Amino acid sequence: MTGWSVGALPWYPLHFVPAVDLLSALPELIVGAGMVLMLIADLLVPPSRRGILAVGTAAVLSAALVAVIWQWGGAAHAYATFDGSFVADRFGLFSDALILSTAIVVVLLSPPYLAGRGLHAGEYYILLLASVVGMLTLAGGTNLIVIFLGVELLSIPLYVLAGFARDERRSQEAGMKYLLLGGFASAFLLYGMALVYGDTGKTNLTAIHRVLLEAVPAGHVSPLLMAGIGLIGIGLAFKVSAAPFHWWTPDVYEGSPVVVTTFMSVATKVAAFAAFLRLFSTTFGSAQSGWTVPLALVAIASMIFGNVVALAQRSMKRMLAYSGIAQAGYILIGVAVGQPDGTAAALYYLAAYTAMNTGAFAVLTILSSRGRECDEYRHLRGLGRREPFLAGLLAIFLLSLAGFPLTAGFFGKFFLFSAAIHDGQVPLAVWGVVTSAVSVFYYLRVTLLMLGQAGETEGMDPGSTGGDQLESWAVQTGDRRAGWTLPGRVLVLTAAAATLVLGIFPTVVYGVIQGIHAVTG
Amino acid sequence: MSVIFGLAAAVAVVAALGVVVAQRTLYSALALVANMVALAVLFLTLDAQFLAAVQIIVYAGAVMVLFVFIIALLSPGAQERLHPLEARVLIGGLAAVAFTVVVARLTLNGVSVAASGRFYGRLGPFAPVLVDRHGQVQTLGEQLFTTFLLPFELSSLLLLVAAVGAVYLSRRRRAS
Repeated sequence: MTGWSVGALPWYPLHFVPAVDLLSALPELIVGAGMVLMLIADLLVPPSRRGILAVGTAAVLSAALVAVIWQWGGAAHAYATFDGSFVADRFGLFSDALILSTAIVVVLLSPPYLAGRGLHAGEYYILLLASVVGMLTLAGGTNLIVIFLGVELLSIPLYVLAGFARDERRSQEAGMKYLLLGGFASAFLLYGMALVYGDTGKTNLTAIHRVLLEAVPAGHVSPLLMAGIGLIGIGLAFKVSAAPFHWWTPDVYEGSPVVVTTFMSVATKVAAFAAFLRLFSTTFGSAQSGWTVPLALVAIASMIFGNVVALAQRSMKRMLAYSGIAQAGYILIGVAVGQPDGTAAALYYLAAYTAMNTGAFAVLTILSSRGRECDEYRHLRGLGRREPFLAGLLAIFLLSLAGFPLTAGFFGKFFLFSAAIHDGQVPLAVWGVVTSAVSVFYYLRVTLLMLGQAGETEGMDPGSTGGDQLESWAVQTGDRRAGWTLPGRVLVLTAAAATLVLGIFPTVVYGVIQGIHAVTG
Repeated sequence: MSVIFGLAAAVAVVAALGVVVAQRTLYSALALVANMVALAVLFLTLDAQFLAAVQIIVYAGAVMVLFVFIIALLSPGAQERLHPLEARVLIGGLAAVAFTVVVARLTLNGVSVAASGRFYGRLGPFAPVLVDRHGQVQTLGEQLFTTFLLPFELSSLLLLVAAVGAVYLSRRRRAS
């Protein structure tokens, strides 16, 4: 046996250098580098000045957003780099822009809220940035390994962020629940990917797409492959919190600090749906007859369950959690319909969802920045008189979520339902319309509540401590300056403007989206 | 080379015996460490450098730390003595003999790889020249930094952020 000592080794040159285009991953690189920068900055910034970290984080995210816009022009004919495992196509870039916008809003609203709850630690920004890297990677990943790592990089910081209020039992519970069920979902996802790899021998989506293109017309799709596709679908359905894989959602949303809930409910959903659309509408598109019915059933279940259970809630976070489940159901219509109408409609709805859900949570964050979580319905009672401006904005966001005309939600649903009818999947559209009608009740209920009198105690136990809490909460709201910062004002107004623009001039965004399709390689 | 191989093999056998014979559980664990390190040396002499490194890091490192930790946690006293004719000693002995026979036959007759259905002799695709090329860490590194560059970097970021999260959650609360 020869060649043991290193000196005797012949030098084998790199015989194969795949196309590595670092510029295609520019937003990811910026956010990743920014995360390391914040890790160092956290050591240098004194605890009383952590707001600097928020500004720095927002600057990093804005730089990434600029990079995304810069990439847009050249992305029309993007191809996968990193040996076919990542692509900066317009589909991914559009999702990136939504994720980054949400993250910027969340970061700028965070300091007063976190300081008010004594949670202002530098790790918050580091974890958030890491999660954003995971989301951006997920939106552009064209390889099963990269997609899985994107999901994990997205989730693991979120497990910690959900439990960020370490001393509060509910936050601990949220973190633990999210960790356990998220791990469970990851196992499904990974097992599905292993089966797909086992059958096709490939992890690149292009290669898998090609295998399916040959196998489907010939009728040679193996059960192994279909099982793999099904398990991947279950894993992703967990992440977008579609019924019946949604059980973690209300508890985790309720227990997490409200800024984390905002980020989790919007950005995670956008990233996971980007992967969902890329995998199902494009990669597995030729096997659509195999998965479209189960997916449509999941969509219908989510719409029914989310909207009906939301009726019974008395907490804003829980209501928005169930509403989020319902919204996931609507967006799944787009996935079930497939290319090209379904994808465009789903992307439009994701944009609308980003504007209205971020906006609604932003108002809650501002109200919660006064020392106590503003979560229960009774906290909102009479808000219309105390703070007509904030109440009005919240009303716009809620009406948009319900799908009222002149708001983003209306055209979001319109495009989704018409895509379903166009594709012949009429039951999806019918269930969508019916459940939307149900949803109007709970959104309007909150809106009307805000117009009511602050002193009314309907539905509360008069003797309980709830009254005291309400009183002290009202006292704290006396400090109207807290949380109502300049960035907060600008951001909420921007979200409201986006909601209205998407609802009044839909072609502005739909024209951009229409030609987009997710490429696999 | 064969001298080193022979020495390492002898150490591995002695250490393996030590695991079984040792009176105290902790000594058994330490003998197991010696056995694993000796196995790593065997891998090294067979040009499987990566396997050698993994053997040290994962088995001699992580797994053994876990073993020792559990032993320390449960702190068993003096071991109960096993009678040489006790059922579990006999079953264990039989399993060991059977395993030795299987390994010996495979070594002498060559290994057949079932997946392709073809028979691979000792000078088949795992001939020294090819092992020399593909068993090296170089091949692995090359793959990691070209084909799997993105997953590799993502994993490193993942580990970093997991550490940050763990530190945050376990950090003692500051007096405020």
